[in-house]
Amino acid sequence: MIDGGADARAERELAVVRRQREELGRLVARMGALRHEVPRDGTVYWKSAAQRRYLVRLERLDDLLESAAAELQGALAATGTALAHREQTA
Amino acid sequence: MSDDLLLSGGGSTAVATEELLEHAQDLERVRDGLEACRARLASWPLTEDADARVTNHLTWARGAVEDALLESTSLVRALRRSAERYGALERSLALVQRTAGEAAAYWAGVVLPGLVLIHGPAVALALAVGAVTVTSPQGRAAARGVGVWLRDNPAVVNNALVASLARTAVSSVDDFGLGVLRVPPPTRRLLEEQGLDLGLPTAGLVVTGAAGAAGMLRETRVVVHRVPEPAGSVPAVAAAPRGFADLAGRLPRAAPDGAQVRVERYGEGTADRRFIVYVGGTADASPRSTSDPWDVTSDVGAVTGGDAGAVRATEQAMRAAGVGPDDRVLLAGYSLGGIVARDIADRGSFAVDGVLSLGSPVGQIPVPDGVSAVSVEHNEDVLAALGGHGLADEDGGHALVVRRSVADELTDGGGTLFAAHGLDRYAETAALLDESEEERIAGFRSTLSTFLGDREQGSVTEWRAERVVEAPGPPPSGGSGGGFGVGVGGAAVVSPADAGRSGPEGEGPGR
Repeated sequence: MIDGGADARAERELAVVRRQREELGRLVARMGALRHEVPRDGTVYWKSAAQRRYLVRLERLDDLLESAAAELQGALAATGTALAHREQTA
Repeated sequence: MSDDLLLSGGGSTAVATEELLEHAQDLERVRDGLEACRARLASWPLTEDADARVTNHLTWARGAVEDALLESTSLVRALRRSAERYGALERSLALVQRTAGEAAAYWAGVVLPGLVLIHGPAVALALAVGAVTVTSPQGRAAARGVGVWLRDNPAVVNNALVASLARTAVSSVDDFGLGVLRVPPPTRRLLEEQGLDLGLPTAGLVVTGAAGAAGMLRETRVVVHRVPEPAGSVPAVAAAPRGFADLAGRLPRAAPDGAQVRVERYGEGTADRRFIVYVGGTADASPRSTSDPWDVTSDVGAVTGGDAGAVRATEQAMRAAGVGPDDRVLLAGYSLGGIVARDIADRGSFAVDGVLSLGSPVGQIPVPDGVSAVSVEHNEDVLAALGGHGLADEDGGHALVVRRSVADELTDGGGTLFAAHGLDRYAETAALLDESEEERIAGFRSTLSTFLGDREQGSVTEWRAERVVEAPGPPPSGGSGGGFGVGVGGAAVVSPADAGRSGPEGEGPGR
């Protein structure tokens, strides 16, 4: 019974990780598309100080998106490793 | 800088460059996308701790998405707030400029008659000199001298400050009249508060009445005929226009015997036809009506909401081209053509979907509800500024106004008279509008696209009108639409075969 329960749990986790990998694949693609939406090389008609602050904040936003994309990519890779490990164990 | 488009109106109180508004739109898309990502990260299966390494990365990813969401939201707010502040500042400056202009015009009106009384002989002399200037060969030479001076100093009429002053002066004409009539200041304020100010129409009546006495700005009947296609040529067809540049590129250009109106008809043979009407700009700069109705007389008549031969002629050309009262129409016009287009939309005789005007003084012409209107004006275009300040939104002033400075674009440094008003310059600006993804500009392109649907090719007809200028004399004993009187006119259509030999058969009064 105990072994059967552990198998069931392992199977469920395997299914969850598979679903997580699918979902993360979509999120990674979405995050890549979002990074392309961030305005770049603008000459927004502001006076220099405000313009500089604006451009700095755009860079910060891009950095945050890059971080988010990297973490999602890391999570995706981790699901791959986890799946390989679990399938091997099974 | 020269490619910057400054947008105002179109149902928004914000004023900003098209680039800034595009940035705001882009960042809104980023924000919305991040909200969707956050929601996914907060839902199954990503909330389940199935693997520690995956969960660890997801925790960091959630933090980065949350921070990015806050940053993008803050940036969107900052851009929108900036546009709103710019709009508020521009409205305040315009209000100050308008109020000061109106007060100055009012007091000038109050003082001027007194000066006339006190300095009667001097004023009489000045008036006599003025009359000579208008009527005698020497006077005309002097007037030409003014033209020469302007040609030598073209920067005066390619100047944003002059354009701005002209806008205020036009908006203050009625206040000058109230001053002349010695209307007490409290009554004047009351009239303005009640929306009963005299406005351009009354000023137009005064101007055309006074000019009419000197033989100028006299409306006439017009005769419209189709410009024949060259012998042996196939009937003209046109591909559906895809944007602002296509519309600008098809506007008739002033030429002797050339078309003033172009009508494209889409959906041939179907009940659901669409028409695009292109109206050209002023061709005759003389204040005296000669043969071409695309003249200063029509300019003044149309911009002040009075009778204008060019408006009558365009409506007549539209009917002759098959445009019925229920057929949907889109109008595009340059300079006088834009005034004509907005005037026709305002009259409501045709089912107008949209109006594009380039370099047209249309600030005081209301846009009916349901009509999509874009007005493109160069900052240095003094002629476009003659429409005065724009109407308030509740008075029908909801056209999208796109402004651009072309000071750096004038290849000869503005050495050509009214260079900022040139159609080629406006065609360049139209091309810039096609590159913009700003929602209101894209909205007008979408109107054009939806308007035509899958109708990809249309038939083309071109039309030309002539004034019927009669020798001054006693009024005709019968009929209508004849004579010279201000506000009287009519239009007749002559077929291509009859063009050039038909007599002026009027249809009765214009408006």
